[in-house]
Amino acid sequence: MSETVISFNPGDLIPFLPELVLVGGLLILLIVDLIIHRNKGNTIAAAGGILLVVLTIIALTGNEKIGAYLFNAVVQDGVTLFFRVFFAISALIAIGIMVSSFKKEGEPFILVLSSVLGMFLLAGSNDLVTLFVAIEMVSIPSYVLAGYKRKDPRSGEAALKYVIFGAFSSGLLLYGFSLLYGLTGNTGLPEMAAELTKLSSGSPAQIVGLILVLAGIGYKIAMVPMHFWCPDVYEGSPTPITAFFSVLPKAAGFAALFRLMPLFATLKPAYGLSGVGLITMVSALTMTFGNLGAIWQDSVKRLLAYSSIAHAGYILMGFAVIVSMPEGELYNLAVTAVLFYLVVYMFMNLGAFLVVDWVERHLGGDSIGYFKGLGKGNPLPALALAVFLFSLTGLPPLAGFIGKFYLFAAVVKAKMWALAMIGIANAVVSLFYYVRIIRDMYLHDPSPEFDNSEAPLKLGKLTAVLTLVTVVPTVILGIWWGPLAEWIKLRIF
Amino acid sequence: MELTLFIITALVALGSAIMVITRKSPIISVLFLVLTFFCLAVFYVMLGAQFIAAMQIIVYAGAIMVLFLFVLMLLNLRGDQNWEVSGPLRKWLGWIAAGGVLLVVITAIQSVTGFNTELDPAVGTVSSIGDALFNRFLLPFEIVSVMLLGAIIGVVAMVKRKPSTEDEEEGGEA
Repeated sequence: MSETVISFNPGDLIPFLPELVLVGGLLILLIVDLIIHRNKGNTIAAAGGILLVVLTIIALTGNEKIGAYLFNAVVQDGVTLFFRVFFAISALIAIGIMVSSFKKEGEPFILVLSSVLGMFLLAGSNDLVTLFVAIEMVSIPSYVLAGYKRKDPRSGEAALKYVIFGAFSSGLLLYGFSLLYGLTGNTGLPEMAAELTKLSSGSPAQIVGLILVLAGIGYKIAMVPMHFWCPDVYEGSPTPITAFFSVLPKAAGFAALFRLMPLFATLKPAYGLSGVGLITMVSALTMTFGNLGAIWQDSVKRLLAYSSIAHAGYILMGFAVIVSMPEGELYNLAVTAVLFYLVVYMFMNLGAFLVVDWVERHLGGDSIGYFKGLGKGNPLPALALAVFLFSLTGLPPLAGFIGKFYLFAAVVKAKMWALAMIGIANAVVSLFYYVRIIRDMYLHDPSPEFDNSEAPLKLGKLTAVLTLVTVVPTVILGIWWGPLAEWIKLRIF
Repeated sequence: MELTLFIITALVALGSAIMVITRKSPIISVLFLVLTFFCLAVFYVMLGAQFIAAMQIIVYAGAIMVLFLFVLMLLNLRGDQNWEVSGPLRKWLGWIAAGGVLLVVITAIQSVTGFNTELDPAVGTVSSIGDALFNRFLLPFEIVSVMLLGAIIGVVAMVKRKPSTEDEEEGGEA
């Protein structure tokens, strides 16, 4: 072995500060959890919230793009900088949603934070080994969180399905990695991309390796055909945890996909398959299956699960453009579109699950019947849910419209007409099932099992604040989106 | 000589792996799994990775399998339980799909001409592994420790007695 020995450089720890703060904070929270006995959940959640605020501030201020560091295991570039802020803020909202359900336990919050640490690493990973360890780090706490409602057999089923599917897709991912490693002899992502470009036109091993990698990552983002776990896990998990699942690990999967995009871009057309073709195909399949599946759902949690599959399909459209153009103006547009959409998706989806969780806590279920007539007795939460659902559909003047507009603009500019048409057709289909809930809330009388029109349900302070925190961006970003788009461009490029 | 050894070990590994998934009794499955792990250890030795071979036997064939057996005996699963959940059509579709994947992967691997078959004798030694873990892969190695901590917290949270969580779930008001 004649590998050049790189010595450890303590200065490398400075860009790693957010992760170090998170690890330190985690350990402190763990000790605090052992010492205190009363109000565990609230205390740990508050402390975790403060930790995440500190992290957001650190992540917002540190914006030096210094490239690879720590033995090239991680990289600090625009994508890392963006996702650090993104994960910190969305974890803050997710923890806020969890507080009402986990009052006496600190562990769920600690598990969420350790999963967030994995996401931070994933966004910065520059090496297949780091990438894989980070993915497992995101997944393992998620498995436990899915099964947290121990008295509910559906929760246990959710956890088991999540673990088994997770192990299976980790296996696929590793198999893909091993093929790519065998072809390139390196685990560093930039080195691998360079080696893969040198290969003559698409070797079958490269194609199979990349497909396996895409399948492994596709599990995290619930991409068709790796989406089977998604509705069951989302339905069975405690609703605040579902809110967390639907945004954070999914965005982490997209961060990983960002890191792997250079590898897919090396796939030259061979056997009727290219990197662009592959991503375009799964994108079209994902949004179509997601939207068609959502139409038949009775449980709102399942419906939102299918809708989150469809949204992964929309976001993958942006990736199709990114693969087709490794750099240039169109690439910049596509990257901005994807990240903008992720931010918008984060607010509207967390918000929707927040209201669903609130209804479920007060009325005891999440089937569509519980939402009937909600608009009469509880106008504010119903209005908020309507805003989120309209935004998820992509109707103007809400943020979802601008997000979709950016994505479609990138796809159309890349002249992928077929994909654009499928996307628009899907957006129309999605209107049907989102509006069904809104219609039930406003045009139907409450079902006889419970009458929520007489006495309005109690809206706690925290829920009210969180609703505002998610509604306001969903509305504001629909009419005044320039600053966010500019900020993303500033971070990334 | 090496080729004969490889073929014999590979056949045993494949056979026992098939036995793992076809046996009805979980205990027998686990025992065949131990055999599969031993065969894998032989492969590692043939590739010059003595350290990983030793780890394979100590950690997998030893510690993890003992845990498996413990859990199985505690659960007291009987071998005659019927696990059949799907009809014959699904079974055949499964075989066809698995066969297709196998075919594609074999074609893919056969197409590669540039695999480096020269073994570096130093690659599997303890010192070279330590070198890799504490230089190039220092960060992932350290992160694994945090990941394991997270896993431990998760396990403790799953099995510990809940402080009356369930009744507060009904009466939450925030």
